[in-house]
Amino acid sequence: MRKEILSGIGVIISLFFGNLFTFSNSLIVENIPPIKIGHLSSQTGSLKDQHEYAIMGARLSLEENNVLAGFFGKEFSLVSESYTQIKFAPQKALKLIQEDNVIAIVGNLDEQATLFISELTQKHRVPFFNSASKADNLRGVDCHRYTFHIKPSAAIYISAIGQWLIHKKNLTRWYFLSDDSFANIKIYEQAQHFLKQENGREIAHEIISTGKSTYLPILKKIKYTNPEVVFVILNSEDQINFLKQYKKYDLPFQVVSPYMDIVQLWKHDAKNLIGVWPTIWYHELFRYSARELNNRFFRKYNKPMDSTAWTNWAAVKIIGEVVIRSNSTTGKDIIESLESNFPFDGHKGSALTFRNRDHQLKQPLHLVTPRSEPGKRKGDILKIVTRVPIPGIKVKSNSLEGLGIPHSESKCQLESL
Amino acid sequence: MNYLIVPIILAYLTFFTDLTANPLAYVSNERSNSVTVIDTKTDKVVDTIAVGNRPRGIGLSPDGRILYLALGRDNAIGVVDTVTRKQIDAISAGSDPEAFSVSPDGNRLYVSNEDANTASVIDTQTHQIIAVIPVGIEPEGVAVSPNGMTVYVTAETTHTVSVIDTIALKVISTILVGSRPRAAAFTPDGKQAYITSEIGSVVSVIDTKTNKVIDSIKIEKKDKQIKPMGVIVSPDGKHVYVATGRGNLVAIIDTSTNTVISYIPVGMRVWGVALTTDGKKLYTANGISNDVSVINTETEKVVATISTGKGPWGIAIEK
Repeated sequence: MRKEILSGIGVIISLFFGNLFTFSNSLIVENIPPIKIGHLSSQTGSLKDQHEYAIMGARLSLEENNVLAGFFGKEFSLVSESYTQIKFAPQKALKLIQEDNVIAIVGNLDEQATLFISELTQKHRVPFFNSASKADNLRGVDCHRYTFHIKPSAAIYISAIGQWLIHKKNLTRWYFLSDDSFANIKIYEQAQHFLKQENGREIAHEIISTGKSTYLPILKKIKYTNPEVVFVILNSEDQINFLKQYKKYDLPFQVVSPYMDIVQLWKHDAKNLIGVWPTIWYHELFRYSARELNNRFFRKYNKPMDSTAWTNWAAVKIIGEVVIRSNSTTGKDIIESLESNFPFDGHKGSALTFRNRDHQLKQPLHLVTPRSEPGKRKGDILKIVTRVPIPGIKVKSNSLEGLGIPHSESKCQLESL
Repeated sequence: MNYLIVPIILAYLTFFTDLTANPLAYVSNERSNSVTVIDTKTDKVVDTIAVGNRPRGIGLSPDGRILYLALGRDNAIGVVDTVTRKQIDAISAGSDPEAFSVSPDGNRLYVSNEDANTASVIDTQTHQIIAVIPVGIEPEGVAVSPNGMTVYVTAETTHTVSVIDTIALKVISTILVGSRPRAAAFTPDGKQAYITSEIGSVVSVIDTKTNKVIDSIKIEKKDKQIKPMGVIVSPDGKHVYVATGRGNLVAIIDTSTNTVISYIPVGMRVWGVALTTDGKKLYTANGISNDVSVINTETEKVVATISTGKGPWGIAIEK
């Protein structure tokens, strides 16, 4: 209905004013309500600290979308909801859909809530953009046609660090350390599978409980087993604590993680840490056009842009651009646009598109490691090791399409529109 | 006194007339803060001019006496006397100027200000900014129509082209083009404009009468990272030459069909392009290989490769 109204007004104005259509934008904006984009954010667990960055990213994007929309007589608004208990997630999402009439929802949510909302939005035919959960099942057995994933999957993170270890550093003997949480055991299994596919060897898998204060017995055990790689899969605080102790103990083995929460890391002195891990975004990325986006974010908030801010910025930006280009706000049209190789400029130097088989955004990542000394600006604590896919390595898995679970192993079956 | 000055002037004119007998190409080197001067007849470097910090956008006054340079780190447009080959002035031009265009009468410069989301209009006589015009986010490429009546300014983040009326000094239309538009070029008759889009990997064709996109040309080649960047239309209007960045190729578009008819391999990270007045030679600035490729446009072959300073970005050729 909204599309028909906009089209109708557009035709009438075009007939009367021809090329002066854009001069009439302000008149149209005054008469047409803004197009609403929903934003749902968790303030529980590890996502609590990310909430602020998620909102900042989404708001920057809203501003940018409104500059574009203003040229064409449209306006967007962001309806933000958050919760502190996961049980409220579905009702917050329902409010966005039924009361606020949002055209799409961006969710910065944990795995369980992402699954709830993915099912709910599928039922209500509202596009949903996952900006926080890396669970592989959401791109596998639990995938949905109306859900798109900005956040890389766990398998993509594992591939990214794994490519570097196997094909760049030739390190194939891995020691795994994980906690006993369901999510991290799943990540371990995926990493173990990757290593097997690459003909590497698992030296050991040590499962520990969360919240340990000392890792000395484990460090001694690692030293004894003499691996080439120590692969750490712990929650953020434990991971940082372990990497600090690992550095202090001064083991010679390459230590890596499949991911790191930089917002958590900013609370610590990174020079006491060691390790390499993949990241979606880092505020010291200056190549391509990353500098411009990082500068815009810093100018607006006086804070560096992190990966959470980027995924939420990207989700809102994609929604806005698709609506303007397709001149439609219907879920079906948004999905058809995104499934037709819609080229998104994520300031990463190449067009980013969604993989049609599971709706995962294909994007380069960067491997980072702590600097020995902090940089000039607040938060300058890491340095870039390499971009992934890694330049110069010619294997199928070292490509935007190949990162993550291969097509042959995908269990995703998207519904019809 | 006069009989002292006259011979000096004569000697000066003789010396520089000889030097400028062949049209010269000027290449901005963003990483060595210099301009390489190339004789387009011999394709040899004849001089290197030291300029301000991070020169990228480059353009000549219609009489060829003044060379302008966008100096990103100086927040200025550098003014170089092409006779003495010295930078003689720097015009304050807002934050981080990257690209600009000189009006056909030489009286104005139109400059994109990337961080400020504006286009600045500079009077070349007074060196004053006479207007600051809001455009899209991250403005980049600037092109003035052959009749000087309109200016197209691309904006990378909003994927738009702002059309500025040069009399009213206002945006009269905004056109949505391919993702991340970089450069713009008009056909000699001014009826169409070609806009390159780096991320969309397309060249949008705009009817300048209606300010609407009438065609979109995909620029793609297997196993190449094609990123359409610099663009120029041949003097006869029959061909459009598109630099493809890290694709290390120049794409040639036939304007009668708006299709790519060939790709010519050049140096690494090809960016700025310029043609000699007769259209027989195309010069490309290759930012990573630190050289300029010279293409014979009839045979579509590279006939010379000329070493430059570090990071050659843009090229301007005398008329």
